[in-house]
Amino acid sequence: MGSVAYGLGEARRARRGFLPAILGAGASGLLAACGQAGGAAPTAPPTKATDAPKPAAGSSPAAGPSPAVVASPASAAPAASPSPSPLAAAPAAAAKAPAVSLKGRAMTSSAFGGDTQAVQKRLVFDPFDQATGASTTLVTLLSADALARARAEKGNPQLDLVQFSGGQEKIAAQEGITQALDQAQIPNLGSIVESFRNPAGQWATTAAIAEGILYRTDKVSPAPTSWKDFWRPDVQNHVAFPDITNGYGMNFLVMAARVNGGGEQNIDPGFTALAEIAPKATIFKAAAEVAQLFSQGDIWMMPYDSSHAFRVRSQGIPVQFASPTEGVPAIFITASVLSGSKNVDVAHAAINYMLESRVQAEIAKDLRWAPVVQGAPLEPDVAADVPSTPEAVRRLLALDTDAINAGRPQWTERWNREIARA
Amino acid sequence: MDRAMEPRDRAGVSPLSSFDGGQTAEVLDRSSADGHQSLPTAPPVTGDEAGGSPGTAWLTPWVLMLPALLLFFLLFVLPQARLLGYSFEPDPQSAATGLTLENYGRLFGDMHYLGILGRTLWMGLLVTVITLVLGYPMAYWLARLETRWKTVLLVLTIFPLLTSAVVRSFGWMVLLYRTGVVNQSLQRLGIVDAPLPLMYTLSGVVIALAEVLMPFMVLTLYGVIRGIDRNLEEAAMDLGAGPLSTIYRVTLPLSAGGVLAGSLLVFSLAISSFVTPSLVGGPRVQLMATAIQEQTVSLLNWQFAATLSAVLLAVVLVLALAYSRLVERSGDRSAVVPV
Amino acid sequence: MTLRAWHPFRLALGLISAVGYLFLLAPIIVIAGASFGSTQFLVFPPQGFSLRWYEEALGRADFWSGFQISVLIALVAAVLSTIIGALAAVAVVRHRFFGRDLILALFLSPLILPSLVLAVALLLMFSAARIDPSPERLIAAHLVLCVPYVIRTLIPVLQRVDPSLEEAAQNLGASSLAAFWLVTLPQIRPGLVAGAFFAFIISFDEVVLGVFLAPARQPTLPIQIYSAVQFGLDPTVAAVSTLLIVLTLVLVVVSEALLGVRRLG
Repeated sequence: MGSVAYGLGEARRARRGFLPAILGAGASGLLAACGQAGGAAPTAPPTKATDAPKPAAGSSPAAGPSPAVVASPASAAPAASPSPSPLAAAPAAAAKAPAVSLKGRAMTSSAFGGDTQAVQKRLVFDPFDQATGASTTLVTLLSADALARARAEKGNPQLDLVQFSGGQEKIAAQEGITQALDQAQIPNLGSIVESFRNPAGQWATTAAIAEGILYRTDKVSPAPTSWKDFWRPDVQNHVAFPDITNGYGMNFLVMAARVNGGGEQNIDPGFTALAEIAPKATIFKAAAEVAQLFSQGDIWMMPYDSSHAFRVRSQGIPVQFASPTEGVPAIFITASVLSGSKNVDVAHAAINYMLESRVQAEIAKDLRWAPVVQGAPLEPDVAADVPSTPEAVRRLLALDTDAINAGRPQWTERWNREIARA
Repeated sequence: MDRAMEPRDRAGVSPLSSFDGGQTAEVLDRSSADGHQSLPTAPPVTGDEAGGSPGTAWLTPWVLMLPALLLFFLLFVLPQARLLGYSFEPDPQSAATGLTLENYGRLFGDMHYLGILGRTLWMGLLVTVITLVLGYPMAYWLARLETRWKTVLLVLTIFPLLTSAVVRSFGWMVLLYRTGVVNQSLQRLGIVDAPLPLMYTLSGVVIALAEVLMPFMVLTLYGVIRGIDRNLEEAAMDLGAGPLSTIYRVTLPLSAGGVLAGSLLVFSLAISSFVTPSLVGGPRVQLMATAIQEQTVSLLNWQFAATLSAVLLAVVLVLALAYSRLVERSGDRSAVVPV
Repeated sequence: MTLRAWHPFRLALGLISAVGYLFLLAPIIVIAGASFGSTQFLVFPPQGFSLRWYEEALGRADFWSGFQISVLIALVAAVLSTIIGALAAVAVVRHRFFGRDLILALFLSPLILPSLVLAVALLLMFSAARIDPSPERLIAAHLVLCVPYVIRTLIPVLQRVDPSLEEAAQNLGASSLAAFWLVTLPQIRPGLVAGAFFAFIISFDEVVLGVFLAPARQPTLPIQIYSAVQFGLDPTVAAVSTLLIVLTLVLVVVSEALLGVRRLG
């Protein structure tokens, strides 16, 4: 494979002085042998800087032999000369792409795995690579894992771009793990809807997801309209909600507080309310369980997002998304650039590409992540699933992540004792 | 000087036909214990050459262990020492600086965390007992099996290890849900009226972990039982001992080392595993590994995570030592290496 | 044991083993079943029949490259840890020395700590030492996990070997190395094979160290699977798992038929 061939260079570089006594030439030799053996296998065609970005086919995320997660810089890489000052150099590579050539440059970004990663690769990173000549590698790291890893690697990050979905971007910025964005390199920052913008420019919001109620249309009647419907007697024993370590569970706690007279500053009512339904509810940790829980027929209702509703529905399970009247917490997908990254310019260009209105519309179609830029052209069925109108966007609640981050340690402790009891 | 070269049981070389099963084991015990005393300075087998001369024979084990010690020093002791240092730092939310024992105070002063520690050890114990009780007969059966399908049967036992933990846990979820296969079968057979709570409970975690850790028990025991001379068992049975008492009095003591190794492996792996407990157990089954994960990743409180790890490690090592001594006493004495 | 084939003891033994196998294989049967079903989520018994998940699994270049990387890393890790572990096990079993209990405890410790703790600690150290991600870095980390298995599985087997046989060989003129090679090694083969196998499979299946330490461009198969299941278990992953199992079984049966390898150990 191209990727393994690439590894030879990397392996040689890293071998210098690193436990040669233990690992010795044997390991490297074996790895090299595999690289050669694997070289015969088909690799992705070398990317050309002049290729126009291919319009992404609207196939379902899971269908078809999806492109390898392992990017294949291989053959193009050695020949390409990294331009010393990419910003000053080269005319536009493609009409809508940023006006830079990043030929031969490599960049590593985190992604969330599963279909979201496949779709992001297909709609954002692959076309970005083709338009600029860069080569992007995606690493699956959920937000919390990504922050932990970036923190351990602080000062010498192996990632250039990191994506968060649980408010971790603030902690990362505060701890100096990520650096402020150079707004001049991301012209599209200006087209982000005002309320989604980070005024300090420490990160870019690239998508919004609405957290509401997912429910089985064949079991829950009437359809839920309020967060208080989780306390309805007819759904008890069939409610599930995520753990507090999952951002959706944290937001659910905050909403439970809000609809009971509290809020981020007064979380007590939330705990009291959740303690009522918790004994008969299923509490789970991973996003991966959502579809599995609904498919068993035993779970009828849970707080999650429109993106998962879309995913579960497309698997043939009758699940709908409801936006409670009290408001819908927004989950923001953000992109930050790591301090000490050696590919700051590539990361910036990639963020700018994510914010192209056409790209935003395509992501909305395949993942049901709401666009954050004005004027992203949405098809009617997509627009129905994501908050797209200005009113809908205004209905999105931006929860106080500062208060949540500050309360997290105590709330988690309390949750473990009062809600997630055995 | 090396004094470990006492002869082990002379199972393979000495005819024991004049003893019954029980006596056999006792005699074996005694002979090795005697060996310990009478041959304290037997020449080390590997020591002479590696050490060069008897005077440097004490070096031999260290030379043999050098690669392992180097590896563990560089990649375990050194990095873990850094982490251990964290456990003496104040809570990241407090403004305090300097060294402190407050993290340990928090852990030991709180029944919640002591409960988590206790639950973790209890879970590890249950998993170990299940794998031992089910695994020993399987290992014995396999070791005494004479068929050309033996290799296939052996490989079947390690199938659980071939599927990744996440995937296997999903399999268990389908089996253990309230509406899952196990509950439906039990209800259809009339064994239970209402579905058993298996998913998101400690029982579920124990079941799922016992399954995946069973190969470690079976294969470890298999290796040891195969090495036990069958003539010993036959001698015992020729003298009228039943198969059960033969196993109990001959095979089991002789395979005590395997029982020890298998249970230490299984226990350690059970308490340190994370994926299965978090998927099958969910947030309600709070164990040390999930608490450590939560502190490390969700709360970024590496200080407390390091404290939890340090306490877990210390407690388990002490237990492992005590257990080794126990097995040592009940089994073939010379054949058991502590911890 | 010289018992009749239908002796109750043998029947009971067989019965327990059958239950054991059912237990061991239960979740795998679910996974394998789902891989042939037509639903996109896991159900048992599977609904419908479809081979599309296999089609997709075999078409996934990332799974294939991950598989190659994983096999390679696991092979290197298994060979190295078997050598390192076997030497240490011999030292521990055949010698008494100061601090022996402490060292045995050290060799067990990596298995007691959750691998996340190992991963974070190693990442902190590697990052500070500017040792960038590489397959070697991952193999080195895997060794810390693999060596304990080799040591633990070898100790009881070595203890059952009578050293006087080796002494006899030496008395007959063999060097101590030759004596070990010719006399002891064949006797400890089951333990050696089991230890090496554990080392291989632990490395092959390891995900947490991989997520934190593997080079981004060379994710192992477990990392690819971990990535693929973040939003639900795609039956494609079930198909991959089933293929792995079938591949192993075929390898064993074929080698058995061709080479007549009677014993794994």
